[in-house]
Amino acid sequence: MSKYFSSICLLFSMFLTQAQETPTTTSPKEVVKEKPKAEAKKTAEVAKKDSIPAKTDRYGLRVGVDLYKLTRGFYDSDYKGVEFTGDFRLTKNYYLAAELGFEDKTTDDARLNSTATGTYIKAGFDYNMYENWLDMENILSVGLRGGFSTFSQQLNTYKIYNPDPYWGEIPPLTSGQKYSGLSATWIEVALGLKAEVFNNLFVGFGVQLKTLVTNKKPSGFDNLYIPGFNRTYNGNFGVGFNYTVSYFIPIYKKKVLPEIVKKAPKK
Amino acid sequence: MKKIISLFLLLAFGFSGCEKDDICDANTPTTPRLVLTFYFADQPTVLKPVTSLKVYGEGQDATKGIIFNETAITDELKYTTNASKILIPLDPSKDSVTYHFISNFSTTNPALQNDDILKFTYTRENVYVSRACGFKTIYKLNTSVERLGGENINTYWMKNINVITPNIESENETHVEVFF
Repeated sequence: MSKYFSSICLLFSMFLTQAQETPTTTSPKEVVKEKPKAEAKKTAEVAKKDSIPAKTDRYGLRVGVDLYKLTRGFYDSDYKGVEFTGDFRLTKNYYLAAELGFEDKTTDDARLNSTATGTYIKAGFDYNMYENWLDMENILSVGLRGGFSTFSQQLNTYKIYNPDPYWGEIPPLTSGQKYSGLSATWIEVALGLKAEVFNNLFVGFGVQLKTLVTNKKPSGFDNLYIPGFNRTYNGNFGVGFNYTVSYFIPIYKKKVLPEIVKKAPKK
Repeated sequence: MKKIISLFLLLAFGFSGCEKDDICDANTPTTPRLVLTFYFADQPTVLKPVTSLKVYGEGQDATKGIIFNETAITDELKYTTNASKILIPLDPSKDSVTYHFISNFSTTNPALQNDDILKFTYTRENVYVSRACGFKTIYKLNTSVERLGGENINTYWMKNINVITPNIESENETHVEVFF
């Protein structure tokens, strides 16, 4: 028995110590718990300010080229064209945007074949609707542009529409008549998407819906294609599309100020 | 993001795909025909319907002619008219046309028919209409209509021919008045 007594005592002592420990630890814990909570809050705030670098928005100029127009010349012998795009970030979401281009397009319709050649400029703004995570700079934009084009047209061949071909069908006639000094202005709503694929290098798509404001037509002919505006329809409606590659040139940075500052003006 | 990209691509190609959709509307005024109206010779303001008039162009198939009645079953009905107004096409590739106007045309009784041959001379101008229709030809008719065939003047069934609208720009007006 005596042999076991010590061991039983030891066993009991273990229970005792355990029994003692639990209450002793619980009561100080509650006291301790409250203090670190407050401290933790503070440290968290400190951590926010210090450990994560302040978010900055980069501002600068993005210049690019429309690859669709540029490459179309390789496979479409009726087309030569280039468009340069540029935008400059004004505020967090607003960008000044412009496009400058040249087009030489031969339109081959069923009864007419004509070539339009000219340059155009479009200027306006883009609004970025996309809420970026962290320091991403992707853009999903909706924008407005005013467009202006000066161009010339050449009527290559044409057909006479004769509903009663009793005397036979007439072959297409060659004209070669050139109409120069033409111009057009239009407004377009531009939807765009630009994704940063490498550092500062963006690829993007854009679709534009256009409406003609002025259209100086040649006497005795029509503007079948307006550089920058594209094909004309019976009304004033037009559509456009581009596929751009652009490079962003950062000029300056602006800190994105955390919310604490927003609270401050309340005082 | 990829969904948006593919949507944009689809939109863009969708738009480029539907380019050639223009068809010249039949109601669009294009190359006009010559409008002849027939009147009584003794009552120049009263319209007079022709009797079985057949018209065919010089150098064209004489057994056929200008189709006046598209749906007719026999050639005789198809190529003859009893109207007081007829429309005949001019040749947009030449500066004149010669037509045979056969009054009382009948294959059963050819003795009754009377053929007057008229040559219309004109100048042409090609005018832009639209992308779908291309151009049309408008004409300026020479006010004197030449009679061919060397007929005796007394055998003419057309007593008098009067060019009242030399500018042939639409089919809504009479260009030539014929009295018989």
